[in-house]
Amino acid sequence: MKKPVKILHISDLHFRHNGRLYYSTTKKINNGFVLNNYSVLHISDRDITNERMNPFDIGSKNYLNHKITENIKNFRPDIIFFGHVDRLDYLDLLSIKEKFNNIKIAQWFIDPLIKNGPDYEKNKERFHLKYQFTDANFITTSPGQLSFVDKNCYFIPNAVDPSIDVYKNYLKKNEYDVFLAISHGVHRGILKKNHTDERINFINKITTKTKNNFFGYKKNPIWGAEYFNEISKCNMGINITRGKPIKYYSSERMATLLGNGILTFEHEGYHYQDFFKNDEMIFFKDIQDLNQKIIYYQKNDKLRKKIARNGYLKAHKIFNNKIIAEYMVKMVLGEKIKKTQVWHNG
Amino acid sequence: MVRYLIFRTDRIGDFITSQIIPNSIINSSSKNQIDIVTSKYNYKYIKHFKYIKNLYVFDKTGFRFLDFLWFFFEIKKNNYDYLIVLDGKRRSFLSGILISSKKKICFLKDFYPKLLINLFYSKYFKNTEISFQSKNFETLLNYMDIKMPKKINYYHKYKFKRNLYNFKKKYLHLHLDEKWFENYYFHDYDYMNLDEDKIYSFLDNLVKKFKMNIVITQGFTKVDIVNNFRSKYFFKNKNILKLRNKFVYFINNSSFRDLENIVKDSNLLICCEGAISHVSHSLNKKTIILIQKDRLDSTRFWIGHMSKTITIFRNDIKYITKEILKFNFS
Repeated sequence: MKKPVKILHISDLHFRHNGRLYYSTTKKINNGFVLNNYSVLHISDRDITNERMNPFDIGSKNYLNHKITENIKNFRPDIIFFGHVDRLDYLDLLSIKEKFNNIKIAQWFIDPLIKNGPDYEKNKERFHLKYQFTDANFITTSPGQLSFVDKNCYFIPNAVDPSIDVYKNYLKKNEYDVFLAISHGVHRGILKKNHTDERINFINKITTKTKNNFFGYKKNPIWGAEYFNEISKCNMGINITRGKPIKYYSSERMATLLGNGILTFEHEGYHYQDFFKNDEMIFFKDIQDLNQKIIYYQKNDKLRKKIARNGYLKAHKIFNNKIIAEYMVKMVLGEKIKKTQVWHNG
Repeated sequence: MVRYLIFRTDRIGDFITSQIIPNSIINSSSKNQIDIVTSKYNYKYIKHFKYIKNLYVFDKTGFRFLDFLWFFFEIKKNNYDYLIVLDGKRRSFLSGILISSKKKICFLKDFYPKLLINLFYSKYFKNTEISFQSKNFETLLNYMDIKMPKKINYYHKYKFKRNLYNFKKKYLHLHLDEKWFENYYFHDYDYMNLDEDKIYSFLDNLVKKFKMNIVITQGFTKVDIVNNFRSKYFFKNKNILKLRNKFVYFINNSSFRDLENIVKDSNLLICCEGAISHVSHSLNKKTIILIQKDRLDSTRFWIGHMSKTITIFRNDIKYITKEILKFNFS
């Protein structure tokens, strides 16, 4: 009998946030692994380091390293998947690689890697630290756009999880026309004082002729079940991402909008036209174009419902967390994938 | 233009392997400037690579205080974008601290001063053997926003020496250096137990199998068995031997640059793992490399990226002959 692939998944499950981020990428990918019948052991790295304070172990780095090593010894995984594990330094990763050289190592990375974009150098360093030791890397930007990756780097879209993305807003007429949410960092939760970025200028120009349900600007962002509750009240959603558009990079919010049956507006600079047709998603060139389209679909609710439904079905089909998780594992193991998705080789 | 300073003060083979880095840098933009810090010995060889703008000698042998000051005075004039310590030497690492550069990267092996690294270097690689050296280089290049080209031209802007030899017909190159002989190399290695007659028998088998002439070269350390073989089987003062209607040429003294020419024109090279196998790979030649069985990790580290090579474990010459005869070199 073929044994299931054993995966040690090390990434933040946000226990310390008390369910506020229960729909995180970590959760969706983890669910995807389980849905594929892989045997998964999870280490929530930031919860581990957060729980333990030791003046002789700043940031509980050594403790985390010890925990990971012990878990590997006991579980003996086939693959170690790293999410945004930033507490381990070069020597820790090297030590894991040296001790367990027969275990495949991979990472997924969903933060922006846009030159001249937010935190470029920092994110590049974070990604690159693990890149040295990995057999495969999965990013939400098209690898061809990046100057600092070569082999073993693959695009994955932000995942839609049917157990999390449960609404079908296209079935009804909703309370609000447009939903939009931004934040100043998911871990922070609340807005920074006097902080502004290019997204604010953009939001200020969005039409006010519609009934808008905006969060993260003037009022604090929302999280947890409240976030989904507010989403469930909207017909349309705008996905905006920090930095200049780069091929395929998008905030994970886009998957949430599509996955909950909201008519989703996305800047065409992200090239999602490669995956979605015009009757599945709305692409805009600039703010004028966006405003015109919002007004148009506000007046044409039947069409809004139709396109939102198409987008919902497509997203649940091609961005499904089970499909993404299977792709990740197969790529690491060098196995053949039976069904090719449009975003493979992205 | 981006300015790079690379410390490579170790052996020629190391320099050739690391050609991946300057080659990729130049390939990304021909305006990039590459300066290299080398040893006195390697200077004679490396100076023939014309892509290098400044070549600095930094050598522990004969290194004097005034030379040291002069070296820093010269190098201080340049503000580098990247300083890369590739040789893993302490003196290179410490010197790198004093040289002005926006980013400093080092490859280290046993020497690991964590505090100094954190203070002065932005990136470091521990040169362990968990991945191929070429993979480490690729990671370094990626870190500098450079992609490795599909084809590396190891001899980019290199001026080959005028060829002193013209063997006309196709030939097999047998590099019979000290690594083949016990008492001349590492004692814990497996050896081929060669003597004069066994070398002759080995050559006979090679001619029979490959049906081409053979050119024998030596390393810089001369080996008595090889000299005795030459005295026994070659005509006095002649370096040619006739075997099964083919010729065996014996090259007594050759510089490294001469060896490059011999490899360049050969059809097949048989050698122990070392600088010459890197030359052969760089010139895209078919090669049989003898490697030590219990040092596989180390060997893979150096030659893991070589695609046109066949490896055979070091063992008695009977075993090696048998293994070589198995291969089909069409």
